[in-house]
Amino acid sequence: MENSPSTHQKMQQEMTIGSWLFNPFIRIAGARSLIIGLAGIVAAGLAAAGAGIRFDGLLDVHAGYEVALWMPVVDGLVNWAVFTLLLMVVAILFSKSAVRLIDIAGTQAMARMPLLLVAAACNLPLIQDTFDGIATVLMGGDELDRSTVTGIVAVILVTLGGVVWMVALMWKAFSVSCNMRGGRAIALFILAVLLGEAATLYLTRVVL
Amino acid sequence: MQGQLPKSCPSCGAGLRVAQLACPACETLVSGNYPLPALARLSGDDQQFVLSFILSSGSLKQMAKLYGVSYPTVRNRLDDLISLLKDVKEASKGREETDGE
Repeated sequence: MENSPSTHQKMQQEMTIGSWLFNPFIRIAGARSLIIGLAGIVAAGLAAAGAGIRFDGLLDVHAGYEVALWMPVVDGLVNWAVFTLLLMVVAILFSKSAVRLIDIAGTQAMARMPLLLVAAACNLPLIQDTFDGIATVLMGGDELDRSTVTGIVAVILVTLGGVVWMVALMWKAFSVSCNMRGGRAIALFILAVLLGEAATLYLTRVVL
Repeated sequence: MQGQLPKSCPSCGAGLRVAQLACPACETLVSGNYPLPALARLSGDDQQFVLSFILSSGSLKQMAKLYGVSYPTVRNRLDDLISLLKDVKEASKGREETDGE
């Protein structure tokens, strides 16, 4: 025990750029993260509506819809709410700490911020032209040209990068807000993601 | 400069015990074999954390403000300390039982 890392030192550690990008929850949680996160979800939804994409599932970003302005906003709120409730259940059942709903809700809302960048990127002319190019090809109007292929690669990189970043943030948010670490916590998180994905797919694609 | 209280043997790493206490006023020496109290076995920084916690009236919100971190970060550290202190208590109990035999 004498060799254990000091609590004070652990808390006083400098926040590096990496910490801010992948674990801002050391510094921000509770009501503050909830306000930032909800603003991010609404902004991401509005940007997604402009780009013609939906967040139709916990980890999903899809184009090719006729998107009403409210739809991606509600998608984001449903995804966040469902996953927050699932993690609250996990925390009540498995965490040894006294967990607060506002910490789980706030940090999970903030963890969805990368989708704002994804949605904003999808409004770029290169990506919009790509969506149009794919639609034309799918309707049999044309063959894939070089710029469309480049655009497809850009779309994949942007969406995949954004979703991977979001999942990393969701994990850290869960770990900090529920005080859960180690193999069992990872397994429970993966289970919650799978259940959350199934539930949100149903809610956003069938109900909405 | 005040030195830090050593808690483990620099030679073998085993936990140290108090063998002698001195009165700074009359220089009386008391010899014995006393275990270190649980809180004294924490690192200096952890002891500082416990002190700050008590001085904050046990308010995690105030602690979070003091350290500039989020509420769950402070709560998690406190839970880690509680777990450490429980381990120390268990170890002390086991040692006392062994000594008593």
